[in-house]
Amino acid sequence: MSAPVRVSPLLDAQRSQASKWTQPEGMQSVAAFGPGDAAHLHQVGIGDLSFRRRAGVKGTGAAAWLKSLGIETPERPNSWLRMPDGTLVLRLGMTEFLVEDVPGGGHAARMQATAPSHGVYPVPRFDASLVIAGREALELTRQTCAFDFATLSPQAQTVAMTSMVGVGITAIALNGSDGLRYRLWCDGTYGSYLWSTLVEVARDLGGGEVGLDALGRIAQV
Amino acid sequence: MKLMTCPINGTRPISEFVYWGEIRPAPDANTCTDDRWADYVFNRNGAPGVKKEWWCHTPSNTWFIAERDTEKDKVLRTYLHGDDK
Repeated sequence: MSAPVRVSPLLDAQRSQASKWTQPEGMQSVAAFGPGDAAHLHQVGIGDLSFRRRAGVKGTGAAAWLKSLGIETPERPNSWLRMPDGTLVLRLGMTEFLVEDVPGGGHAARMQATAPSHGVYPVPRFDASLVIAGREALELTRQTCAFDFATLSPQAQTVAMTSMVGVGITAIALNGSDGLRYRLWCDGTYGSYLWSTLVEVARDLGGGEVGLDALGRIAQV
Repeated sequence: MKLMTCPINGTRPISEFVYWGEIRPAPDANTCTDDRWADYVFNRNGAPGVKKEWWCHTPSNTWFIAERDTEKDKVLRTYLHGDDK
């Protein structure tokens, strides 16, 4: 395996638990924590999707600039959409956007390589990005956050920016064949604390951390 | 639990917000007297009553104005800067 060019902000918190490593999108990430990964995912599993490439932009000209790059934007503040190629586009407040590629996607790289126009300000994104899945996922959020995640509707495509265990997060709910799951983003420097705390609570609920191998398609879409 | 309503993000626990003080228009530093400027810089109005205050919803960094009765500790309304209709 060649040397990674990117490192997950959660690496230090995961290093001692990992049993197998991988490098999606050039980022050193955990492929497996142990034989219990799949069982964790069924109960309540937390995965690290920080490897997915993302870029941010804000300003009154941001929506038009993204459109010129072929990136669709949600109409409503605090909402999200998924483009036909799987790219997630989140509208954070009125004029800020977070774009996250699916593996192999090129929108984030194109945004970073294109000079911003008038009224467009790049927002560096070094997020820790998590997914919470499993039948106790909602219970995990209830124990760690005052915001009611049950109001996050995948159909309404709502974005919530709130505080979870004292860390500012952005959250959405997604539907999958395996049920509802939540995607979270937070500043990478708080990532290890958020990860460790959520894993601790998840273990109390019979779940825990899940590597990318067990996440499978959840890590890809 | 105390609650505050962000005009963009809705009603949330007060722990998600920071208070940034009463809105106080600054006097023109080029024309006002030293006493007037010193009063603006150093003094604050502590009398209870209805005040317009800056608040920020920290997870989204949304700055807004809250009209709050500091005598009864009641938030009367909140709105974005420029939406004071």
